[in-house]
Amino acid sequence: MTELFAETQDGVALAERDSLRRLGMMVFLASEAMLFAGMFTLYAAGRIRHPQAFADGVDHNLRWVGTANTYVLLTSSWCIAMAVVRLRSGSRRSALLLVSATMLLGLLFLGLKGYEYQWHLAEGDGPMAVARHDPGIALFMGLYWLMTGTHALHVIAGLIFLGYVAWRVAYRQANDRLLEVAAWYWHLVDLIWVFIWPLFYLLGRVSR
Amino acid sequence: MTPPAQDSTAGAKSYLVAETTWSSWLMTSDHKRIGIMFLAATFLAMLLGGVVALILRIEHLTPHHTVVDAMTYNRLFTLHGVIMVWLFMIPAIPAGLGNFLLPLMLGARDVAFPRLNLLSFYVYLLGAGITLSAMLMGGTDTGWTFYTPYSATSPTAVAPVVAGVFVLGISSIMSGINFIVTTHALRPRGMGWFDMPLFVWGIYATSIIQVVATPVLGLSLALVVLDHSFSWGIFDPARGGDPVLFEHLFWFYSHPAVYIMILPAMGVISEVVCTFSRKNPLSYKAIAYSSLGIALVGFLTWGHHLFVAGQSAYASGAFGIISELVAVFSAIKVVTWLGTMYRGSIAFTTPMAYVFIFLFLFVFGGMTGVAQAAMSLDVHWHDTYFIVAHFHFIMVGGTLTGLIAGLHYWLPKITGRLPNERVGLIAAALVLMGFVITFVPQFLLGNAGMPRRYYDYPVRFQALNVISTVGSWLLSSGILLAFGSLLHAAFRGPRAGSNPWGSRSFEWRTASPPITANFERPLDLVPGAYDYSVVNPHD
Repeated sequence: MTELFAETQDGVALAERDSLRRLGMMVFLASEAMLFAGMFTLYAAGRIRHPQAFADGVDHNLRWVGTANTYVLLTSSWCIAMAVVRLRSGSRRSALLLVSATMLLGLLFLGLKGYEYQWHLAEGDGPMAVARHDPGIALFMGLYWLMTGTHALHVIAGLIFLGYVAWRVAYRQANDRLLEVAAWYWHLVDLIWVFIWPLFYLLGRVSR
Repeated sequence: MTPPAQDSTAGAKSYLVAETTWSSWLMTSDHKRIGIMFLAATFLAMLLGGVVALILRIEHLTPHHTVVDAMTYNRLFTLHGVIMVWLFMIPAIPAGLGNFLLPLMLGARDVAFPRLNLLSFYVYLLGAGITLSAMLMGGTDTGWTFYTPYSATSPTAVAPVVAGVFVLGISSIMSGINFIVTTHALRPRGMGWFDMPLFVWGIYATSIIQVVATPVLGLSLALVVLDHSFSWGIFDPARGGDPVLFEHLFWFYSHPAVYIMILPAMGVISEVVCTFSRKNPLSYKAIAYSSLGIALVGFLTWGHHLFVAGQSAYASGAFGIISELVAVFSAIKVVTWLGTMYRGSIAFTTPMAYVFIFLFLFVFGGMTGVAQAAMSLDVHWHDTYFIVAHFHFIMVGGTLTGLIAGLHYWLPKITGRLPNERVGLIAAALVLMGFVITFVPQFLLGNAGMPRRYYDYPVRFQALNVISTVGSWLLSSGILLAFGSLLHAAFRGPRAGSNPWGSRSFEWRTASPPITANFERPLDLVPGAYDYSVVNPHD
């Protein structure tokens, strides 16, 4: 029997399974990137058509929340990157602490996001009320709910994924490779936010 | 329901009889069984879409009301398009035949993520269920392209149809990721990229499109639902949106999607041509690279659907020129297949007959595509039956004939039994005749100005419409005969032996049907997949 047939439960050799996961995640991230690329295209088209309305929409948004969330996510990215490094060097305990920190920061992000959503809803600007705005603003608010909402769903998915991996790491069923793959996903979600931040919170008409 | 195992492999049973319970099929992670389930599901979808097509053709026997009213007609042509594109043609060859064959051709035990593979099948079923449930809600009347702003305001069941297609897209992405990783990572030591069977290149190129383009479709469909259900107006000019933007996003996926349909069929043709010419391909790399070329260039051609949508003439010109490049890659393939046959030892079997049909229909349909990609001509033909005839020549004439060729060719691999040659050839002749009689009149109708998707037409168009309808009966009887013969052979056909066609390709170097683990011994890569210059030690 050669190594090709050295089977695990899935019929794939263990060493091979790590590289399959890494490649699979890479390809999946390409797919995710295209999803958001389509949304950024919509934003660009809308902004070219309605520059004033989009600038007004940005100015009306809660800049401090978007900015705080950027710092929160970037810090979480640092945590998860360090977690991979720590797990690789064998310190499972500090790796798990760092993953927990990442997840807490992710929850903090969602909390701030929820506060912001609540603020919009209190103003009567919820996703169901997009149609009541003037044309350009309606497009801006539609894209706001679409892009930040889709991103928030990805943060939630990332938290579930990280939680699962942390559980596997804690019970010694996973190695640093699996955590690394989860970290890649988390980094992509953070990276997308880095582009959402200026488009919805910074590029307004006035500079404050 | 399962034929007995071949006795050529010591002890191990074939995947068909290794386990026989229902749950051993429904909960399997075996790529071969999942492939068969995909084939069965897509076959049922094809039957349903075909019945709808027949009703549409019967309606056009007379200029006005024949069997259905106008509103029903609109819902039926939408249903036909949605079923045939998303439930049948996109998954049929990649997720059906591709699933079955990819690991076998690579000497692997299974695909990279077997459980994801099964999940992909159930997500497909879920998407199909949601889409078809819309039939019970009265269906929708937007056409399979869901153009805004009409799709955002249509009072019909737009949301479930669109949501169903969204879910089908997730299944498509899952399969694509699986196949890309399988091709990269599960080749055995010693098998380089240019040692793989050519079908793998077709599936690989297809998978790239599925992974990269499908998310954009999902996005545009989600926005249609939001526009329709909550009046967001992203694509509604009255609310500041842009309806043409939907066309851009939709065709960014849906134009490459036609290559999702044709590239796997081209892969089938490459395999069949080499096996039945008993010869290596004229140029392996030409076929492999042109698959990638079509996949990549296919991403830059979507604007040729927008020639009359207010797109700038400059953009249209650029999109037209890039679109012509697809014809260059396609021509490279056709020439290479013909060159492969040249001085080969050709066996005129049923799969080979479909290769000839494919070549005729694909070249004919492809040439009309070259003409349409020219802006000046397309303005005349846009939204007429000329377009309908063109894409049926490529999709039915290309994908469906490729699928039937592949099913005849790999039936012994899948079931261990041989198809009936005589019935197969008669069915092939019917398919060719029926196809030409159905769709050549539609070219003439379109050129004469008959628009697509219209319930009524002027009386002067009736003769050609009647010919087309009669052709559709011939075509459907040919397809039914072909599939009926295949189904019969799958259960009752004569035993095939492990390699009935004497092919050198890797999937034939194990028992037919294969054991659950695919290979008893690691795949022997000598001689190469197309090396007919030596006696095959595996025969």
